[in-house]
Amino acid sequence: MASDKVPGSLPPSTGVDVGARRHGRLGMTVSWEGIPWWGIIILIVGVIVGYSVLTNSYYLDALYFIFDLPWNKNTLGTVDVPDSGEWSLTVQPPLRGGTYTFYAEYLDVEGEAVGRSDDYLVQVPRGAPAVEAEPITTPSATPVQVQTSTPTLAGVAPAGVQAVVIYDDFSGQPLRVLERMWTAKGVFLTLRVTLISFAAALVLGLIFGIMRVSSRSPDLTINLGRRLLFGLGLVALIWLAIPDWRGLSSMLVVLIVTEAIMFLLPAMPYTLSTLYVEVVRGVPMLVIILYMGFALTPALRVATDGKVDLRGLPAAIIGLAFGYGAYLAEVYRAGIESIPKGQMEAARSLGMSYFQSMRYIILPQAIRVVLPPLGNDFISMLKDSSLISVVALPEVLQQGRLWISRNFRAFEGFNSVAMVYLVMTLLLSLLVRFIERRARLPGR
Amino acid sequence: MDKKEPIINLEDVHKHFGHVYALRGVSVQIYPAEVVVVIGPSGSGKSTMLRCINHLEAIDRGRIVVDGIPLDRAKNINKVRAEVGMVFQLFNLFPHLTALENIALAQRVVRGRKRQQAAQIARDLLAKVGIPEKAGSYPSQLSGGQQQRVAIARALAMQPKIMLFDEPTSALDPEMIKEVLDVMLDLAKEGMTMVVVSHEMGFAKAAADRMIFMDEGLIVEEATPEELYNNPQHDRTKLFLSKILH
Repeated sequence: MASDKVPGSLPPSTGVDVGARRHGRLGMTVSWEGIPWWGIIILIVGVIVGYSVLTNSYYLDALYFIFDLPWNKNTLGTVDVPDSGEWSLTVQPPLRGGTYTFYAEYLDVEGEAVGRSDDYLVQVPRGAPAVEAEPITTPSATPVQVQTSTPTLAGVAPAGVQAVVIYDDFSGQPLRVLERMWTAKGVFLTLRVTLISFAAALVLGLIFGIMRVSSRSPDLTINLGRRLLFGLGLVALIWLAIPDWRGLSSMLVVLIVTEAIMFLLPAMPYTLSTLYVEVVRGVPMLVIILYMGFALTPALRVATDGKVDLRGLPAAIIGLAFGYGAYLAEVYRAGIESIPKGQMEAARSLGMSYFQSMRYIILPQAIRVVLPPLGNDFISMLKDSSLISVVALPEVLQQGRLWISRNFRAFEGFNSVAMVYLVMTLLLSLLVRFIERRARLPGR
Repeated sequence: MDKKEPIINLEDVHKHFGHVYALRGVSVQIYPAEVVVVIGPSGSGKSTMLRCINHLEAIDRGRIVVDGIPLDRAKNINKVRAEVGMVFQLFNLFPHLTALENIALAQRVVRGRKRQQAAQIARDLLAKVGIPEKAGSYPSQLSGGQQQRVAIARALAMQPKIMLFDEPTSALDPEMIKEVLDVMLDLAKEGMTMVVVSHEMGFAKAAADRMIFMDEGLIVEEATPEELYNNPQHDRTKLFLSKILH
């Protein structure tokens, strides 16, 4: 019925004839403006993903790899089995205290799984040293106490088994499963990196954003005499301290530099933050990440004699945070500047300091303004996290490429990667919309 | 003339914004418990003068002394501002806080009052300005007149010695002007020192001890409301009065 679809339409007064469920008796109408846009997109994407996965088993395999499944066990190692069938493996790295379930999966000549051993239950006491110990040669359903954090497992594989894969199974231990998920490669690594980097970028952006709105007028009212005196004093100091710089030209340079510093000092926050924003925004994200990963962090390691080693994951996080901090700083700045000047004036007139005004009046309002762009930037960073694959981190894209190189199926591989990113960004978009709605001021 | 010390003293104040000279040598003394109404055409510098009194604008030349403290050498301008309340033409209420929170915030953050105490004072002030039931409402839910009254209460919560009003009723619908002016009248009767920039002649006649006419950055004439109306001395004053009294 046409009247069903008109928003706010009144129910027919008798309400009996058509669609009695929808109208009338209860006096309610269902207001129906059409399927929300995100519903359509989710439907289409869901159909595409579902169809691909269900009809082509390679997708399932690719997705399995990209999600770094399984999450209920860790692979400890693969051991070739000699003719005798005897195998042994020493668990590395050292285990923490707790009860572990190990088992061996048997692989045939072609690498297919052909069976598995029973479970080896092992109990490692807390604080056990990493020493050699007697191997545990038979599976046992009751935990075997060992005195080492690197126990050795051993067994005899049946005939026809070429190799065994030893697993650490923690299916029944939810905490360990969660830990495994948190440290997983692929999707969870991408999420982890994005969350941490974005949180850092939010803080960086806020700091530099506030610096960007600070006063930019150089203070010409600093007492001229005092300024000259300070400049000369600094020159004299340098003359005494650095004999190399006693020439006329270098003294002039020093004088000019000190005058420039004194001139710009009140505008220092503005100058520094503008420098950061302009420089970082002018360099592609990929270059920033490469720079962090292959230039800065190795140099830092060398400079501190190996004590500060931030290569790999920390470098990627720093790169993303640093790069996005510059963009977020501009978002914050725009948000702060969008708050009418009268707000600051009212706050200052009441006697609040600049920082109090920012904290209680300006920033709370600015946050609500910048939430949509910040949400969009978060989704942007999720996609840009694919760039960290250049520093050899196993995130979604990298896992996808690895799967492709092992299975030689580029279509399924890249389609899976694209689908994973798409589903992640769609879900996050919904989350961002939800948060935006919650943060709105009444009456807006 | 009183021999008391002026609570606001402007001496030869100059202020320019780039090439625009807003104040060209303004000197005026305002005494405690005095109500001074400033009128003048737009661009005459009346708002600028008001904003210089609580240092929202820094002057280029001259001296301003407020409550005995010269503004250019004030150690802590925030402390001075806490003693000078300001009410703005566009209210400038904090939209993310309720009326009560608007009034209580500065009390807690600047005067260090406890939450309970600040809230109680806020409620009393809301009752005083006539809208106690709106304590939990947000500014967007209030009418213009109510918003301005909350703004007045917010300024009063700091218990200032001076209240500055920058065209407080100019942005209000006519039926709401009276409620705000009534609050201001009560305040005047209680002996608050007030400097009001306004075109409301009725209020000036009822409350002002003195009126000041400004034009082009200078004070042209100072007189009591009756004198200014009935016997303006300068041609410019006469011209302006003829324009606004219709």
